[in-house]
Amino acid sequence: MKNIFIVLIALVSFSVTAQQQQITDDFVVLTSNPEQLKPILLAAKELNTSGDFKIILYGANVSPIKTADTEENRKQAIEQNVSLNVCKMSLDHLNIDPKDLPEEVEVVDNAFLTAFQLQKKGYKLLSL
Amino acid sequence: MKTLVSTFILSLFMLMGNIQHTIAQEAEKQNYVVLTKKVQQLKPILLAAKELSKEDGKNFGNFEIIVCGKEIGNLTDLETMKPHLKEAKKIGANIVACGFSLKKFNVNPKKLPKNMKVIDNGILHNLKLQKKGYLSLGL
Repeated sequence: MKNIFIVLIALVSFSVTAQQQQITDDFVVLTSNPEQLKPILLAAKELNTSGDFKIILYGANVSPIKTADTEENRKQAIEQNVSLNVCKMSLDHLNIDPKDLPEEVEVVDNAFLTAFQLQKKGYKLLSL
Repeated sequence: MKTLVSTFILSLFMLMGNIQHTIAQEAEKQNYVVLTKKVQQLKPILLAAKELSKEDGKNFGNFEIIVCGKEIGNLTDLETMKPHLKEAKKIGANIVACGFSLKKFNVNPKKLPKNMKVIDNGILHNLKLQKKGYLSLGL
């Protein structure tokens, strides 16, 4: 009888750990304002997550992502292993060719879709 | 020997429980809610909804789009709204208006497209749906 209890406790604690592992340490921040890159990157640095950290830019003001205005931020993102993404629909709207983007900037088809898809994978979302 | 057998039976039960749990989770429908202040964003939102409905297949649940804020009057522009409403209907998405915003910005609810639901408070509606497990996006 004692043995059964021990086994039961072991199994219960095992399943509890298994459940904890399902919570991911991944984050995604959605913003339409490139000026927010700096505070977001600072936040990412402070968090120092073991998981993934993505920033998605969308909207009518994304063009600085390819200019010198964001160069510092882009360098910082590479250093911190934060991925910078920009919405293809916004680029199309502004007639920006994805080929003209700096190579560290990735393109997603639709920022809103990506936001939901990542949440489904367990990412925590902050939309600014 | 007895311990071994009981351990085996117990782990079998635990395993079964876990499998059932996974199946139950998979069978649950995935619901979504978007809170937006811009009617122009309806197009990309609906495109996202369409893609998610394809992705989720049978598990695609509700997709609720709440429009609020000072540009809420744009909802009364029936010409622009028509294609969005048609698309939403096709996907099974729902566009609703925030009653608080309508009142605040003096928009007559009667001027909204026919059958558009008005909810009291967009922010509250979003939070309530999140409590029910909806994935949320606030723009």
